[in-house]
This record gives sequence, structure tokens and C-alpha cells, in this order.
Amino acid sequence: MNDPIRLSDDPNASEYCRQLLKVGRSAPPGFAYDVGHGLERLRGALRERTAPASRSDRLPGFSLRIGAYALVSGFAVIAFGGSAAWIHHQRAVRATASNVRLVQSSAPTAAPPVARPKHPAADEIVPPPSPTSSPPVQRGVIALAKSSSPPADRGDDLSSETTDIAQLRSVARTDPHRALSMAQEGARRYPRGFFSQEREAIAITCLVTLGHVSEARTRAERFLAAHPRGPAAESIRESVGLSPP
Amino acid sequence: MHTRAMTAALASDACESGIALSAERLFRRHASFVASFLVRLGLQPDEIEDAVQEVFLVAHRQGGYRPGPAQPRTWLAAIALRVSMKTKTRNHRSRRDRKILSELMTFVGPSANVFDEMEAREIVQRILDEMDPERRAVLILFELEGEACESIAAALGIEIGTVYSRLYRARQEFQRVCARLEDRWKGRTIIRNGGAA
Repeated sequence: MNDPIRLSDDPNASEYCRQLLKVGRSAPPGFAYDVGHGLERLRGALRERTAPASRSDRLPGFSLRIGAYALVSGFAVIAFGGSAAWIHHQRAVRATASNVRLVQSSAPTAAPPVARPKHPAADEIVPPPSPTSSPPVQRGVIALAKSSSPPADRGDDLSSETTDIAQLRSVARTDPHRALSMAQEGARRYPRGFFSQEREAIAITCLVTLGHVSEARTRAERFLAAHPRGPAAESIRESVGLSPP
Repeated sequence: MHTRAMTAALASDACESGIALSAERLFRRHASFVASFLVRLGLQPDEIEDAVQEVFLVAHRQGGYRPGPAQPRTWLAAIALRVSMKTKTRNHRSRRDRKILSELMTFVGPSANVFDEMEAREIVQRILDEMDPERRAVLILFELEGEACESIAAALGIEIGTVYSRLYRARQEFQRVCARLEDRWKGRTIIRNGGAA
């Protein structure tokens, strides 16, 4: 696709308009820029920013540490959930076994366990068969299901959050604009997520990268007020140039 | 010696779009362009110095220019556009700009026959001040800086069709204001150096 003809060369445009555009090509009115002075200032700013920049480069290392913590915690959660489920399961199995034993021992009398008040243990373990109650084995299964489902959900959340944060990290290096919206979406999806602090740190770094320094600073101050000693606090302070407390 | 250095610089300019450029090198080559672009985007003289620094610091944080469909100038222009929008939002300039154009339309301007170059530049600037920043950036880059639409699209991260439509609207707007000014000033004598001729 060819570019359209420029207005200053377009015979259909008015002479006035063409002349204005031709004149407008030279430097704008009242314009003079001292490149030498600007370059000196830029060099100074780059020197000042070398330390924070190199520290912010440490963000992946920081992320790895957080990732490792997350992994360990994830295993802990799953292990705890599994243990709880296993204990419930064992109790249920034991209860079933004793129930079976009791039922077997009471079998020669040919009476239902409910009708045998002489065996209090049997009353404790085998409840009266009513539509609202369940046998112990079933209760054990329900307990197992109940105890195992939340850790599984948490594990799923953690897993998807880990994937999201990894994507966010890589996008932040190349496309800070997109990373910002991803961070916002992540904060919405995982309001109490394991990586919420790192997500905020990345968002603040992206704001700085995009030149939105004042917004970055406001968010950094809000973050540091809430988490002054958080793992991301130092990198946030450095990226917006705040001094440590 | 000087000529050789100039030749080397020109040769380097010719092939710079194919190599990665650091912020410092970009600054040496394009700081004037960025400053002039920021002025055209409507930043005030006292804001230019800081804004130019901010543009090149952002360029530095992004790792400098990397070869791609966007040329170094358009790539810097895209950063400058964001910086200018932020600065203008912070300083609430837009209302003031509008007032200046209305004053300009009432009191000053060239006649149909005589063109004062400085005034003409001022008029171009005021017309630009009236425009939406995104259309304005495309108009400046295409009409005044002579950049290609493809490079503008790549730098701003938009489709080339969007560049064409923004350019079309910006040109319509520019021509409409030109027509109004032309009508208003037709046959008027030019006012120069504070005196009417």
C-alpha cells in the first residue's frame, strides 16, 4: 500500500494550506535546543540510574526466590491437605472395621444395633438409620472429599497464578504496556494471591519504564505503607528512588 | 578531518536503521528532532528540557533502539507522544491552547498575499494545538517530518489503516482551519512588528 501524497505536494489542496505546511517543516517558533547541555544531563541521569537499573535487573532472581517459596508452600499445602485426608481416611477405615466387628459380634442376636442399648459403643459408632444421617463409612468419604477439595483448589489457583506471574515477568521485559494490564487483571483474579506483592512490584517497574513516574511513586508509597518489609519493598523503593526507612 | 567525520556520520546515519542504538547515540542524533516534535505536540518551552530527558531515559530503560519496521525517529516520536500526553495531562494545557487559537483567529495573521514566515509557523503550531494528540502526532510525522506511514504504524503500535484514518482526519481538520483563516484574512493587510501597514 502506497502512502498518500503529502498535502504540501497535493495540487488539490489550497495554496495557503500548502504554503503553511512547507513553512511548518522548519523548526517550530521560538525553538532552540542545546544538544550538548542535554547530553551532559542525560549522561548524569544515566550514571545515577545505573545502580537502580542493575538492581531492578535482579528482579528475576527475586522472582525465582519467591517462586521457590511458592513451590515449597504449595507442597506444604498439598502435603497438609493430603495428610488430613489420609487421617480422615484412616479414621473412617478404622471406624468401618470396628463397625463391622460390632455388627458381626451382634449378628447372632439378629437384632439391629440400634435396638441394643446394652452396647453403648455400638450406639456411638453406628447411628440409627435415619434418612438424614449417613453411615460412618460414608461420613468418612464425605470428610475425605471435604478435606481434600480446598487444597486442590488452592493448588490449582497457585499453579495458574504461578503461570500468570511467569508470563507477566516475561511480558514486562518487552511490552510494559501489556504487562500493566496483565498485572491489573492478575490483581483482580487473585486478590489475595501468593504473588500479589511481586505483581505490584512489576507493575510499578513498568510504570517507571513507561515514564509514569508520579503514578509509580504513588503506588509505591501505598504499597510500602502496607508492606514496609515485604520481599518486594526494596526493589520497589529502588525503582522509584525512595530511600529506605 | 572535519569532512571525514561528517562523511562518517552521514554514512552511519544512512545505515542506522539497521543497527541497535544506545540512548546516548540516539540523543546525539535525534535530540533536536525530539525537542522539536515535543514543541509541535504543544509542550511549553519550560517543559521541553525535562521532557526530552524523559524520552531518552525511557529509551534507555527499554534497552535503546532495536532495528525493526519503526525507524529510530518514529520510535522516539512514539515515546515522546506518551511523555507529552502525560506532561500535558499533568499541567492541564489544553484549555489554554484553545484560547490562544481563538485569539490568533481574531487578531493576527497573514494576508492572502503576504506571508511572514514566523507568523506562518506560529499559525501551524496553533492549528496543531487544536488537534487530538494522536492525530496530531501522525500529521506531524507524515506531513512535517516526512516519515513513512509504515514506520509510524510500527512505532505507535497501530495498524497502518489506523494511521491512514488518523492522517485523513487530521488533514481534514488542518484544511478546515486553513479555509477558515483564509476566509477571515482575505484582503486584510498584514500586521507586522506591532504596526499596521
